[in-house]
Amino acid sequence: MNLKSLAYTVPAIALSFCANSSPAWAQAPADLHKRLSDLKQIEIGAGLTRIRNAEGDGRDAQIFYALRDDVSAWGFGVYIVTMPTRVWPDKPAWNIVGIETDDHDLDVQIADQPHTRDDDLKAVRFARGKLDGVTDTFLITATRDPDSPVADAASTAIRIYSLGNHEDEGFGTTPDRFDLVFSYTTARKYSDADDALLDELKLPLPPD
Amino acid sequence: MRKFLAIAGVVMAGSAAASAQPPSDLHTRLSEIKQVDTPLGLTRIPDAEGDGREMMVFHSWRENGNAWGYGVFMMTMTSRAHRDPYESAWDIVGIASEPKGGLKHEVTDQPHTGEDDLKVVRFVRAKLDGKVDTFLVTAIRNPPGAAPDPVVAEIRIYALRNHEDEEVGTTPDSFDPVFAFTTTKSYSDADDALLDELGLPLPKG
Repeated sequence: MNLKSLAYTVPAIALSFCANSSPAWAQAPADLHKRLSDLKQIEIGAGLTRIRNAEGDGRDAQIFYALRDDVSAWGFGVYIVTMPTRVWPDKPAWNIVGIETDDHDLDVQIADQPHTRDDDLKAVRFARGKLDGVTDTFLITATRDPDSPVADAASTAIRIYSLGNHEDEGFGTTPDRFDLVFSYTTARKYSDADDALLDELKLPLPPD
Repeated sequence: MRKFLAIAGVVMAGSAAASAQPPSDLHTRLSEIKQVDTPLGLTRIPDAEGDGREMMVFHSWRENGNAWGYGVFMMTMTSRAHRDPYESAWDIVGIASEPKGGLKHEVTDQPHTGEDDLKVVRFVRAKLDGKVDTFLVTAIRNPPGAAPDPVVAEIRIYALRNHEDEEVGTTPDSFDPVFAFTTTKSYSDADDALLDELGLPLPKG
């Protein structure tokens, strides 16, 4: 296991254990903004978006984003992230980047849930930033689960995943994956998951 | 007429998991089958539904470090209502697994070692009742023991249809089941089942 992967894996295991014992921490970790800095959102359009040097070793990631229309407010967007492997960097770059679930499994995709777009239930963003001083690519989600009307203000679960390589770990994992590094529930209530990301992490609102 | 056939096919496929043998009229109704290769990445299928719109097949690979990796296929099209803007070219084509069930937005294969495929996914151009269309074809084996053990395969064939004139809950276009049957012959590789039953060529390499 190389140092970079160790640096990410150890906190990921510790933090995801916390995330597993309860859905998310009750509040933002005190050191969140100290450890996670220089966040800059990456705009993701429908189709393919390339993130250059996504993991700091020269390899690009590609995000495939498609829309699952429903002719109602219950349509959603689906994201699949792919990369070439380190072992075969010249082979086609379509290896899926797994996404760690709360129960330590891996998803192959992640979906948002914009509802009317003024009351998003789940927002999905990608960002470049630094974790403990090391530049990386991050997947960030904000999920609201209001009891009644969708627009009712509710606490929001924020999950932050960092991109790490796991090619030296044997079977059962994707070569690269997004590991959960922060997971908490906002103290403040929000009527739109986009507002939660703006308020908590300063991620800009989507364009109208 | 097309829609009626689709509905009839859906009822047939939905009344049982799959008919016990190939429909007697399968090769009469489904003809001129030509496979479309869909390697990893994006593949365009021009004029997929006969109205000028193209479909895109996004094929990616979920590596697992062993024989249990699998491919993920997601299909998109421009809806008829929004055929001009580039952005709308990425509307997911749903896959109707059941007559009135939900739509899946992806389909996966399961090649195992590549010599004993448990599930294969193919795309073809063909004629159904004389009309050219695009089809999704799957073959699934479910051996109770070792993966290479010969076992009957379940073949499913879906036709690409537009549903923009329907109510909420559907994707603008979807793959609707039109044939579903279980082979009488047993196979050790789902690729062999598709070669034998439908004449679809084996994968390269």
